[in-house]
Amino acid sequence: MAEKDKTQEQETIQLLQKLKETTPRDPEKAAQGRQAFLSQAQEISKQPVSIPFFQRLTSVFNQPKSQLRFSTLTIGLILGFLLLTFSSSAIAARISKPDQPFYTYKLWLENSRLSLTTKSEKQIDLHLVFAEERLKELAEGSSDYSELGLDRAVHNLSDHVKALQSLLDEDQISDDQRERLDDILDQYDQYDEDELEDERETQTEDSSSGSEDDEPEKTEDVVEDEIDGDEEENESNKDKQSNDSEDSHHPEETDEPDEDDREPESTDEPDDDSSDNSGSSNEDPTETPEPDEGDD
Amino acid sequence: MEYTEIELIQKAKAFDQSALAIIYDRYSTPLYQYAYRQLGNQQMAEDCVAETFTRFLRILKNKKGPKEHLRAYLYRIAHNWITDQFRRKTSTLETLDEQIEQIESDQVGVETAVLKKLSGQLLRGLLKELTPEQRQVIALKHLEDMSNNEVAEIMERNVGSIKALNSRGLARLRKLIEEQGIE
Repeated sequence: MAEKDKTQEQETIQLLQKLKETTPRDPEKAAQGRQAFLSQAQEISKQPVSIPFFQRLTSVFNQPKSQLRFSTLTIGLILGFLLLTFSSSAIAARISKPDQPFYTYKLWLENSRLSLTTKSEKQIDLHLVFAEERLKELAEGSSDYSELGLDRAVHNLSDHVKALQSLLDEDQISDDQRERLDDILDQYDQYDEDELEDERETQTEDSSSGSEDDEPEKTEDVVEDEIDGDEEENESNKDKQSNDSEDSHHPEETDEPDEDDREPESTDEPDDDSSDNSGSSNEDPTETPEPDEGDD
Repeated sequence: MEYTEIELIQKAKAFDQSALAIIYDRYSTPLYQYAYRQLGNQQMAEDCVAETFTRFLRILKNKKGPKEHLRAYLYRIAHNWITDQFRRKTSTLETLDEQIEQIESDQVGVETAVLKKLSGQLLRGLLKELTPEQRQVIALKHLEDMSNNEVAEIMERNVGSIKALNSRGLARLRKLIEEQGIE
């Protein structure tokens, strides 16, 4: 059977040999074809090339080895530069403080690390480390930081603490981690955002009330008025005392006090010395006792 | 100056006229014969050569093309063009006038020549019935006398699959020949 197949195969191949015979190519047509091809090549070489974007990206790998070495060197230099820039900025971020520009980058790097961590145990560790770092920063110079820097640090600390507390609820924290968390919570209380907010509100209120008191001109006026008023009172009291003593010497004028009851101002009229300050003295509430004295 | 195939490719990619001329001189006639054996038409074979080289230039212009095995690459382009012609189902047979003209010019006995021509065209017609890959293997191996390795290189396949394609193609062709009663 196999032999028969082989024979048939040979016969078929034999038949195919008939097709091998070809009429020779017309040399004129061949020459024309050659000329056409070369002129077409010249024309196409002058046309602008439009290389697809992806091909342009990958073309570097299709270059000859000599050029590829240069390209690899260039790429290496670019990558090296990028790596250096990234690592130096990462270092700068790592040592930055809440007030510094790299601090946001530092927090971003920390959050990225947290996002990339899938194991909850590792996440807890990172939360603890970052929370401790925040506390350290705040302890080092919370009073020196601007409100924005302080806010950023406290807000971030608060985030870590909240995350840790939620993990604590889920009993995923080991004893050692729990101890560290307790320490953090102890220190965190002083930086608790709500408390800080309350503190700020209190400060705002204090400052607003302080601004009401801060009217030095008026206060001086009032004090002066008060002093003037006191002086007048004292003088009027003296006058009264002298009048009283005179009254005691002139008993026929004892009816006068009845008139004083109706028009207490009239009692002041005789005091020419205090006429300049009569207006203010009349307005001064410290003079109200006078009629009572008159009553006396 | 003798260039290696890789050197020729590199120079061709730079549109070096002398390299392109060498490529044309080296491969245009084998490609013509390859096309003629399958199409049986001089003009179409010339068209195949012209179109193959035009496509090659466009590919070079787009910074693509072979890194090595230039011959294999050109044969692949030619094969694709021939397959397109078969798919279009345009008659690849020479007109009767053309055939008689050629037979007379060959000054062979008319009867024998006509029979020979007709059996040749019938065979080409049967080759069209094969799958493009079977046809390509048979054409390269039995008409162009290439080795299995060379065919594998052109078709970018391993030698085992070339052997299998060849075997299946020949069996199918044998069956078709028996059906047509060609001797």
